[in-house]
Amino acid sequence: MSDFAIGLASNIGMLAFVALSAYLLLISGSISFGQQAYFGLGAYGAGIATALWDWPLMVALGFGALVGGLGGGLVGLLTRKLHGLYFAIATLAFAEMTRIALDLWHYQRMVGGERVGPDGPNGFNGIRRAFEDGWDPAAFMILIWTLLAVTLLALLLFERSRAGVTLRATGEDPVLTRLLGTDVARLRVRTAAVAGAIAGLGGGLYAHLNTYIEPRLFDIMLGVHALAYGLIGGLGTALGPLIGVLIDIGILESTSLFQGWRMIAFGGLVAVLLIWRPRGLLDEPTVRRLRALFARPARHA
Amino acid sequence: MMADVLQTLLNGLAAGAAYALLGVGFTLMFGVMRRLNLSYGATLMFGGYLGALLMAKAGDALPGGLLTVFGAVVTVAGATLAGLYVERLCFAPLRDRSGVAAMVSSFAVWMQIEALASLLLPQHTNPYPAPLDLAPLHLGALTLRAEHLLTFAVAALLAIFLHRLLSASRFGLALRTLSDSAAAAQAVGIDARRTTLLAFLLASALGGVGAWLVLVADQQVTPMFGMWSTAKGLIAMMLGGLGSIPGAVIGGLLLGLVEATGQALFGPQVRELIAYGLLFVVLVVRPGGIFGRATIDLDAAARERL
Amino acid sequence: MLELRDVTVRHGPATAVHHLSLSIATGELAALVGPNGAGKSSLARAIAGTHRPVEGTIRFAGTDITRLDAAAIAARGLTHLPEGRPLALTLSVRDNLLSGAHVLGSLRRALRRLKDVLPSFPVLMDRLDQSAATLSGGERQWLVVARALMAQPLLLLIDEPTLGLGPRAARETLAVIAGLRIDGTTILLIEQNAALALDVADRVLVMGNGRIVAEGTPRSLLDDPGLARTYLGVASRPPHASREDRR
Repeated sequence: MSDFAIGLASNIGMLAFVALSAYLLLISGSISFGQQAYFGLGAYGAGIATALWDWPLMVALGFGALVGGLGGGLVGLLTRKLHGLYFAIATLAFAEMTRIALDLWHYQRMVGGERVGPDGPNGFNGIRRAFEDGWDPAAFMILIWTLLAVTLLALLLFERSRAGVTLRATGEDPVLTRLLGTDVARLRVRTAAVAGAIAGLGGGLYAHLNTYIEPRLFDIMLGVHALAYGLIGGLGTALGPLIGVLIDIGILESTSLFQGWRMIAFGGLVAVLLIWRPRGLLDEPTVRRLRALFARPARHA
Repeated sequence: MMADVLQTLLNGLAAGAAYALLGVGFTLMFGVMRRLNLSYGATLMFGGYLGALLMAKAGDALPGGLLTVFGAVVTVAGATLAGLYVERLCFAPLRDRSGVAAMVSSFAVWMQIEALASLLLPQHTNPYPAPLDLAPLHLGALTLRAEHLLTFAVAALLAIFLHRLLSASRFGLALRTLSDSAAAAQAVGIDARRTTLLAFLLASALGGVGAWLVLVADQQVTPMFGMWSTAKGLIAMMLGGLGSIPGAVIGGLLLGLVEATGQALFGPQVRELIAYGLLFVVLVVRPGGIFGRATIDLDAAARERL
Repeated sequence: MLELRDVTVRHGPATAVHHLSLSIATGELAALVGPNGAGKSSLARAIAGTHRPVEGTIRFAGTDITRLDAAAIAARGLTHLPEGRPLALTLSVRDNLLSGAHVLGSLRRALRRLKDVLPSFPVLMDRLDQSAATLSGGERQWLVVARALMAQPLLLLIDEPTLGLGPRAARETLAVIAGLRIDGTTILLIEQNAALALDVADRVLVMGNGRIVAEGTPRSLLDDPGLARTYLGVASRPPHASREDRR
């Protein structure tokens, strides 16, 4: 596999984490413009763990997921009474606060004779643990996709579980939400925490692949892209956001158009697609139909 | 010392007046559609870019004052045209359907517009000339720059105009009725589609003026302007209470004051942090905003299925 | 004035109205009664233009309005008072009334019309500057009726005006509606409370399961005991008793 393809596949994998993060909240009926914050917190957390505290890579990745999860859970808790647009804007505000805070934060130490650590707007350089441990790009790509596959599997199983069906039901019927009361509120906070953890895991991977991160990366562009992936690919299944990422990156890299025109064309395509399919390509009715299609042969066998 | 404080407040109010216009634009759109137009800032940026581009071309042909007026007209017209494009593509077709799709669609158009703007003017910083041949006014220790005066005058005029439009015209009444209850509007024969489109155009034009005031003060336009103005308008709207026009005005002024104070005390970056922090705190503690209720009606909010 | 031919209305897979035909003459007060779920409101929505019928034609004052949208139909003089009394609750009573004259085309005309309509509604005259949210249920119904009159309608399509009102308020509301005929306004009244509707109507159409099952004057319908009990929920009266006797 060429270097270019490996890089592409890695990017797709990491973006899929943020997309899944936003997707999980979307199916529970909440729009979050702020999942990029937990991606960023995970990136910084994992990066600090390896570069400054000398933790093993896997532990650091777990730590990144934890930080993301705590962030997501905290925001979920604070905003648990907010619905619809109020919730969406609150997540946006929090994400921007996080980004600006990272822009102002300096935490550096001398490690092996040089200064490492987050340096405000200058970013965080030197997150080299992955390569020091001997991970070459191909192996790291496999790591990304393995973790992604595990996450996807967990989500797919969750969607078929009782909790998953409840979550989706409350997303589709907010009045039902009100009737069910506190149980649902707790479910939503937990969902927010898990979504944050997923994003945080992706962030940690991103930090170690690129060895350099800066606050500017975790802006609202990333957040709304994350939402868009789910909406394009389809909200009927956890595979939807992945397809959304594939379509975006696929179009972006396959056309030889100049960057600016690419964006104009892509933006227009998204707008038109959403008129035709407001819940994405693999929306709930389509997924149901596909499931029925695959279920029939088994019954006849 | 006192003079410094007053100067800071004055600067804050001037910035706040522009924010108020942005917030009012956001509110008008939200009122008739119950959705956020994420590309609002981008449409204003488009107007600004168009203005900068055409002013650069016309620069030598027009005298100073006329150039300023020309820039204003182009900017507002550009913003309105871009607003028309957004309404037709993102919101009108999804009117009775998914609100999330409409908002993400408007985000996609935001990206489109930003890309287009960068193609028109590839540089990061583009001059936005606005020669105002007015000396600053000195009131004791306070300095009122020409831009300040302009901002206050224009904002006040627009406020009066808007008030008259909303309270004493058939269109204004239709808009207020539709914003309150789509069912009531339908019952009295108001054409919701047409009213929404006109409200959109009005909001874009108002935002265009607000953007113009900011650009005149900054004397430049950058690609960040889209995100920036979206954020300011959004915060102004939410501070005052979602859907309330007087709220958006107060919210905008308050935001300006808070920012000016924050900047004076802590510097420009913390200023941004405070703005978002204020928004977050208001949403968590008093989501209805300053003019709203302390706890928003859960049923109504819950039924706002996006 | 209003003529429906073969109208069918569907809600997704369910059919609410089956090939229904009826006609309302100018100046009459026709009542459409029937139990819950008979399709009355679906029919009203089809006439008003908020939910298009899949089959059939609707003609109003000589024009085919089947495919027109609600605003266009309202502009032609067909005013719909929908179920639920939708009002702009944050707006004042005055503004709500003025909005009713939207179809007149200018605020000036609306203000003039307001002067003509208000005298019939003294309760509203006292509350012009209050927000509509402060009105009681019965007052809100009056506001809705007055608002409808602001449009100088040719036909009033009134859907369930007594819903949620106590018996006295319900009777008063229907008395107001009956009084509107003096101006020659045609009225199609949809009412679940058949007894009250029979008191004011010139003609009654009984709807069941999406179809018209009976039609006639109130007296002729009450003369049929089976019909009276099943659809109208009223005790039939002996054929020789007159309407006045019931009061």
